[in-house]
Amino acid sequence: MNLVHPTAMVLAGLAVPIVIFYILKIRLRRVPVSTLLFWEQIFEEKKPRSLWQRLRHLISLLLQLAFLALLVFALADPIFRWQQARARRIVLVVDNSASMNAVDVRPSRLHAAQAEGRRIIDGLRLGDELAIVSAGAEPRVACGLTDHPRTLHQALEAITPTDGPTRVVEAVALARRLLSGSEKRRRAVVLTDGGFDGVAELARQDDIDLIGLGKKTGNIGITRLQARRSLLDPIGYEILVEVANASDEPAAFRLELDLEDDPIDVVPLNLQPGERIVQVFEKTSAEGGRLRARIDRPDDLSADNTAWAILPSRSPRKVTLLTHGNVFLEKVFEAIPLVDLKVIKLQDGQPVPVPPVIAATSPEGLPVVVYHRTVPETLPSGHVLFIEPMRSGPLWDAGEALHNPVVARQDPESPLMAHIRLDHVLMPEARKLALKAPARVLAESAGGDPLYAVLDRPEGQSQEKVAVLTVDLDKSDLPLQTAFPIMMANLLSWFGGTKGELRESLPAGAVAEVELPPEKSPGRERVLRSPDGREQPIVVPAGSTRVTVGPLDRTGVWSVVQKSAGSAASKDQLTKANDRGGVLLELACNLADRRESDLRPAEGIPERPAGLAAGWAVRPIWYYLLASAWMLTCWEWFLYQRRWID
Amino acid sequence: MSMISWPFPIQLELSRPWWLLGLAVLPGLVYYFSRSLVDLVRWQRLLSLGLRGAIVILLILCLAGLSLVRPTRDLFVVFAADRSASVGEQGNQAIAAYLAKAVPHPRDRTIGVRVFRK
Repeated sequence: MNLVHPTAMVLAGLAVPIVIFYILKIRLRRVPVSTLLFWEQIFEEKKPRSLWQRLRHLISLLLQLAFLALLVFALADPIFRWQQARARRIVLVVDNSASMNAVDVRPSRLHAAQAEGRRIIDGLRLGDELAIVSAGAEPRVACGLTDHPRTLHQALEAITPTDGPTRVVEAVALARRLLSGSEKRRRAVVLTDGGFDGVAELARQDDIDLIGLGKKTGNIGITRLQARRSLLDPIGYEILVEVANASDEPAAFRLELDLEDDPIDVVPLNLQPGERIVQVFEKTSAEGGRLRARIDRPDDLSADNTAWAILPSRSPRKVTLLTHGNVFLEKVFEAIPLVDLKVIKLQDGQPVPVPPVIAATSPEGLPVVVYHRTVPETLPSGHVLFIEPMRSGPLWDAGEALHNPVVARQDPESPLMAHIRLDHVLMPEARKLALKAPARVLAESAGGDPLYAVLDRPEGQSQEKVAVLTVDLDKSDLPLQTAFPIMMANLLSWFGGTKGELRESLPAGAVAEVELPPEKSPGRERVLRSPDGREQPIVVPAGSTRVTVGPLDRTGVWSVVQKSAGSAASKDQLTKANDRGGVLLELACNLADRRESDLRPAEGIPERPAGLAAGWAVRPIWYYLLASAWMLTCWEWFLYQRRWID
Repeated sequence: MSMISWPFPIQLELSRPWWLLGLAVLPGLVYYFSRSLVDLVRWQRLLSLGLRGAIVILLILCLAGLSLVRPTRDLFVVFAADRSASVGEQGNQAIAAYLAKAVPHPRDRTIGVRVFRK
């Protein structure tokens, strides 16, 4: 045994005055009485020199000395060698992934893990140190190594649930780094439901104690949801949904789809045990918005019962047609959805007007100008389509008319030629062009003359595009073919770019790089708002509009919000989550993890390992000495007041 | 675990607050004091009661883990050392030399070295 503070033993000298006070006789009080008769009788019955009288005096002295000894030893802080040798360093790895939110263990698996963690903290022995690492979407040290129980309890309670994937293996690696270099006994205690690959192998490792949580329970979940705009239909969109039955029983339920709370489809599903089903839906909507898929069967994990996707909205496109008159051309643009058509009829000899410049920040916002049989002196801003240009322009030199050209080659790779075949189209006449600008020929005649091509603008404006179709529409049957509206729809889609077709739903725990609109009013804070209304500021690098956000550790719709002065300062989190004011960008985040949706415990997780219990003598020796002193002083008080001792 | 708030910038903490139940013996001390058979004058008896009560209270507070909580002023430093392939042998030697100079006692818990590489 060693003494931590041996100098405290000096206080044992206080025993000397205690003994002296007991040796000294107490001076008795003098009280005048009328007779000594009765006193003498009592004196004879209970002689002070009896054995008990002497023992009583001695016991009183011994009790006082024992009390002093207990206090002095407690101050000296004795410690056994075996206590020093048994000191441990423990890292508590708490799995707070999505599957830990399952409520098969009330109130949840994560709460059960925290209760288990509290028991381990309360069982720390003298000299033990413990750290806490969370193993959710991102392994994180919640508390470094310490022996302070309150700090550990606070850190354990501060671990919040996430909908992210399990990162136990990475968290254990982090725990081992925390434990490295220690001479004490090292352990990593993993509190998990085992919902990750390699759990059995991890449980077999010598320095790991794995405590399994949760029961065997089935779960139905949406494991994938994506929505994108149709490449063919400007207002069409496609939805892909994957639903899995991670249980040992067949399940019958309904899959419901709605767009901004408007129901769009309900599908009854009947899945066999372990079965997965993928469904694709095609719908139309120009507005877009939040698309939600949900299953109407409640189970122990709610995070995968609902999934979200963001459907980009489609705004009307301004198309200006300058023509001497062609009813087919006008009708084809009128027939294409979301086209805001303006027709300018030209007279012979009239100078070709240039439409006003419209500022736009994205390709889809730029106007489209269609010149039919006319060519302006300078190219207008925006996207431009030339149909049968009759004279030379900035990008080509016009030649003679081509008679009866036959399409000998068309570009099968270009999205502009999707679902189009021009080889059987009658073209009595076309205009021969010698292209001056870099071009991609989409269709050319047998003589190598371009019939349909896209060109680069000389100004280097990469967003603004130019296309030219040399066919004489008045003589050709192209306007009567189904290829013609498809050709024009493809062209308008290509002008708009493909950026707005898909805003991918992200898996929970992902980190995303997003592009934000340029800052118009500096000083206004931009925040990332979680589905439950929590906000965190976004720092956009100077001169950049791209920013990294995440990890998105909760399922639902996340928003990047431009906060106005004093906005939402007094709102609660739920109100904030539903507030669409100032939203710059929305990101859908889904569980989308078959492993997390499977709540059945993995094979190979052992029962609670032995050796984690506190055992005997978890406290330092001074603690027991002081407790003994407390009991002794109370007992001695009773004996003294009742005159059992002097 | 419970914190004790004061109007002063000092915080006290009881790590085992259930030990405060041990103060329940104080009424017992007073009871046996009132029924005492000890032949002492009143002021002596009152003094003994006061001293005994103080001893019991101090022992209970000690067992309850009364401690002073204050923010640490210790400085903790973490060195992040790039050991990737692009650093090269010469760079690694320079890093090792610097760390050996900056971290003279590797077991010092206020200093940490974190090496990162692929």
